[in-house]
Amino acid sequence: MASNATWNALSRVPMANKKRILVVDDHAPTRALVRTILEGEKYESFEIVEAATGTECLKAMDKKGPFDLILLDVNLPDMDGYSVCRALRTVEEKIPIVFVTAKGDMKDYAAGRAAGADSYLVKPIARASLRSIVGLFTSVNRSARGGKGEAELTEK
Amino acid sequence: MILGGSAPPGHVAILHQSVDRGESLAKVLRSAGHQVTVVRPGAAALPTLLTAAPDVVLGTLYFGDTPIKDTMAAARNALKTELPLLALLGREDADAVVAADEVIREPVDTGELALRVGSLIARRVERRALQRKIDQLAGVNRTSWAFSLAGGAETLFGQIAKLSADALRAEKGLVLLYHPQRREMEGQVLPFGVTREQVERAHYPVDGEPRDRWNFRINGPLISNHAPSDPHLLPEMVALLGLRSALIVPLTLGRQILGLLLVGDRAAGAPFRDEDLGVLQAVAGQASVSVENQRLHEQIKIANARLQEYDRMKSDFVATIAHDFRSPLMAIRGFAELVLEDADLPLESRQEFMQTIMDQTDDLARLANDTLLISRMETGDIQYEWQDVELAPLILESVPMGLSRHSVVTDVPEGLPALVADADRLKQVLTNLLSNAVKYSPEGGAVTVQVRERGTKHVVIEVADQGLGIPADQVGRLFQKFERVRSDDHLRISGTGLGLYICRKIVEGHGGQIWVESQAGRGSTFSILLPVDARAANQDAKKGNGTTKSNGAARSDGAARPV
Repeated sequence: MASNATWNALSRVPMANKKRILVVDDHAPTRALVRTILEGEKYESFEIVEAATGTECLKAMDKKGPFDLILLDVNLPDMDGYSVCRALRTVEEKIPIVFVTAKGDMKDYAAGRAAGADSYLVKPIARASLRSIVGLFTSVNRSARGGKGEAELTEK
Repeated sequence: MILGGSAPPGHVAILHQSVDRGESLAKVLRSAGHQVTVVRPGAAALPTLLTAAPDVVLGTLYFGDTPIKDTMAAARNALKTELPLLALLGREDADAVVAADEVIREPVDTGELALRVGSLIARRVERRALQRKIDQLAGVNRTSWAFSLAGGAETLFGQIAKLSADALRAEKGLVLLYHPQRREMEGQVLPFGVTREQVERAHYPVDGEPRDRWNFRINGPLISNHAPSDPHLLPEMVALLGLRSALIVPLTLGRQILGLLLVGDRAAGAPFRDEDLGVLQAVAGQASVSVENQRLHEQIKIANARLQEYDRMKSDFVATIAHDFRSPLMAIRGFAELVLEDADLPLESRQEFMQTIMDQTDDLARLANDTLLISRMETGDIQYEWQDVELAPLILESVPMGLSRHSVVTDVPEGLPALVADADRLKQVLTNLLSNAVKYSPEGGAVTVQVRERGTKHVVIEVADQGLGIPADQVGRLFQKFERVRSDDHLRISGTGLGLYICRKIVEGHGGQIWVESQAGRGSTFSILLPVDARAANQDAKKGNGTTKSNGAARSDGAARPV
């Protein structure tokens, strides 16, 4: 990652421990729900950035990054989530990417893994499961960019 | 009284114990016009007889040392025919000794001899013709089970061509089928005795022919034994297939002409005869049924493929719809959970969450209605309720509630005739267009509804906004199912991609058209052309002569008005 981008990101983040999460979903109320749940957390402080399409997601990655976690919908109107995930991986190898989708069978899980995602969250999102997966991928033990070692832990 | 001279001439072999007597009888028969071979007794007798292959044998009881019946048995066996024997008996010879077809006694009356020989020859010719007919009919009979549809059209046409040629001992056989659009007979592969390339160029126009040309529809079958100079035949066709002679019968089904069955160039340059016609017609009758079955078979295959395609589309539709149902459900569940679990939720947040739940529930209901409506439209199950409709109040009823950043201006001229339309469905179209106009103008602005008469039989309703507009390259897709404008600004606004599809279907159901003109960033104008009497237009369209079928085609920059 270019040092320039890091500098930009630091200058934009007021609190050093504020975790930045990119929420990608074409359904506005779903984005609002994720934002509401995460912003309501008492012991963690999250900054939520929203994107409604794959293009917007890639643009946000470029202009509004870096992020600690990306929550990515599979079914996007302009391109499918797997392609978005692969495109993200070409610019950022280590950032945790979690698919959030209504499709919940093993085939989709495998496709998500193959595209380079770290985990998979099946809709409907319960508050508890969203919290735990966000907590896991943004925990203090991990650096802001995540470590491959910790990511492996979640595979079980 | 039948005279010997009137019988057809034939070939007579005389096997007489006395060669001299034989020669004198030969003279009598030759004078009656017959060809005569006088066979001499001895080792060469049988070979001579077999080479002559006569129509009739005139023989004495003994020929050389052999009884005539033994010689006859050997000859009949070798020639594989019922070679008839006219036995010439002495006065005392007993009839029973010889198995003869006819008997004549010495002293021979020359008139009687000529008569007997003539009648035997006539029977023989008749029998031969009959045998030929039996052989041919046996061939036709074979065709009735030989035409198989299993191999597809090429195999079928190949079978018909070959069996027709075989049944008539012709070198060439070909099926031509009538093509109703091109109004001509077209050669079908596989042919028999001509090449695939020749046949693919074989066209036989049905109309606009010179007067001499044979019209198979009116005149029926045709025998032509001098094809190159026959004015009844198309010279190009004769040249293309290299025909010397031809026998052509129409393939018919009821009063409908399916095509032609052609055989050409009889073996050894022999001519086609009238008696051959019946044979080819019998084949043609059988072939017509098979050709028609083949055609139906193909139609069923196509219909089946289409059904499978519909089935696939239906599955895709269900999959997409299922996904569209899940998103609002998920938001409803999530926000309900927040309200339920958090007793300390500020009132403001609580109200905001409940509002989202309400909105999402409305979305779900609308989605369910749209889905049901589309499903009905696609099965053709939708009934329009025609009634008199006043446009001005209908437009006012269609304006969505709660507009804060938008102003809606309506412009409906006075004295506009009442339309005959389905008020509820038409309102659905207008609501859809007005909601879109508001939804896709996030900055606010004016939404204009303008109604104008076009001629005396149509009105045009225009809904114009000052919103996002539509990029030129995306306009064409918009009226298709699940299609939305693919730009970030549009996609941020939720929508299912069903609204404009439903609008188009309803407008078409009214015998009208819908289109859009737009400039990206400047706004869009959706226009509906409606017949004043939609009931009549709808019925016209159902009869299949409607000219107002729209595919939602439009351009975004020019005045792309379908006429």
